[in-house]
Amino acid sequence: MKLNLEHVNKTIKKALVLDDVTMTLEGGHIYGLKGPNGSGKTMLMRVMAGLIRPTSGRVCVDGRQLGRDMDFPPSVGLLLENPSFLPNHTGLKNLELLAGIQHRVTSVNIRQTLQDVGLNPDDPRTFRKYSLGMKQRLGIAAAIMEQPDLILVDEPTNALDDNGIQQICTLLRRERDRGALLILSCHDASILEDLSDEIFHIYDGKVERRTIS
Amino acid sequence: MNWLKLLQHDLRYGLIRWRYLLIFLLFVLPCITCYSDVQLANVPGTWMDYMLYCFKGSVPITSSPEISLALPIFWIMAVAGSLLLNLDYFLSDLTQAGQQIIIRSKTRRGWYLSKCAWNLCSCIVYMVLVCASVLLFTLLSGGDVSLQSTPGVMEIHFSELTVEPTLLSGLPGLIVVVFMPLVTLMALNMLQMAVCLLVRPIIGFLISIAILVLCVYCNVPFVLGNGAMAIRSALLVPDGISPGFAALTAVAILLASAILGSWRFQHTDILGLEE
Repeated sequence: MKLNLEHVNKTIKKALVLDDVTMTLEGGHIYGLKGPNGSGKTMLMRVMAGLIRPTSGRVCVDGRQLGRDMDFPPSVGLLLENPSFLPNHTGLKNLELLAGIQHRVTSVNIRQTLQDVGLNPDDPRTFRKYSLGMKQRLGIAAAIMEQPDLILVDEPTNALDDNGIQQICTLLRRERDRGALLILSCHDASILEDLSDEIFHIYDGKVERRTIS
Repeated sequence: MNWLKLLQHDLRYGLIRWRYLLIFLLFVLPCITCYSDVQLANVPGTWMDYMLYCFKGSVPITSSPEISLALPIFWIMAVAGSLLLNLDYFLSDLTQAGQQIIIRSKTRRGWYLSKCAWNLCSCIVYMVLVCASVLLFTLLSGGDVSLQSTPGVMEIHFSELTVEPTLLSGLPGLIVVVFMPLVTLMALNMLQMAVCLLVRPIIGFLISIAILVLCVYCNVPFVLGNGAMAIRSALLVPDGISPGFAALTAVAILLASAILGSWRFQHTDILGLEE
């Protein structure tokens, strides 16, 4: 999988949130996005996911342009801000409902993914009763369960304990080794540097520099 | 196949909601007011009498100074109830769990059209519950479950008219009190959904209410709402608005709203709750 952003600009309510972003990203790598709050990291991920249309410039997935040739990348997993699911269903039921749209994974795969992120598939509690950390784990499970080619994770370690952080880091590396293209933003610089193959430093919507870990 | 999954999701999570039961409360007040008229006429009153009162509306503006024009509060409530019920599901789904669904569906158009189908189904459910609420009140108040309007009650309800209204029964009655309000609700809801892509939902709702108020003062079938007022229907009064024409207008607005909304949604930014 190859993701190209060419001179992407985005203006929302007269504010320039992405400023001439150009980057080429390839599968089998983890790319980190680093920058202060409001610098445009989440917006950039939304543009890559097809949720936001650039004001100018283009985003191409394997040569096909988002918004022209397709609405969304053909295979994408997403964790943005606070994970939202149907509040009256269990974690397993929520993931089964999502998986039912594309039929890419079986119930056995979903159960395994839940265990991988540290959740009990047979937990009878509904999403409404989950702790913040459990919600975060479920969000990560939703992003990776279908083994997508493109995985966008915004602050995946939020609300996780040390053990949880280690579990998630191991999972993300496993996805990279499988050949997926991962884009990650994280406020914890040590985690970001530890996980990422390359880091893009973003300030005021502009990629200022790029460092290779 | 994917689209059917989307629709199934919307029907399951967008229709089965406790708030629909509020419809029973919403229609109690007009039914009680109608009941006092029924008592005055000294007849049992029928289901059609109560429905006609709920969707009566107001007389068209004329040059006659004897006829004062008042806002038809109960009619506005009856229509606005549906608009309010359908206001938030579409956008709250889009900013929350629906984001996971839309990226898996791979199609913005399919997702929006599924919401359109949900919107139409929601209007049907609303109308069924309205009919059930009025039926329940009719039974509790000792009225007749009949599609025949009562002359004495009609005389009191439509006393503002300078001509005698036609007594309604059977199919013409159902057209006036069920079909026309339903088609109007569908068109208004579809329009509101498209408008909410451009402005905040509360503004979208206020625009819909403004359309309802406008139609009170503007007695032309092109203005949505006129066709849903029983008192302005050609089936009730001579020189009234033709139900066929009003229904066609509503369907045209419904289709235009769905097409324009779908086109607009192609370019809509899907943001999170906090953004």
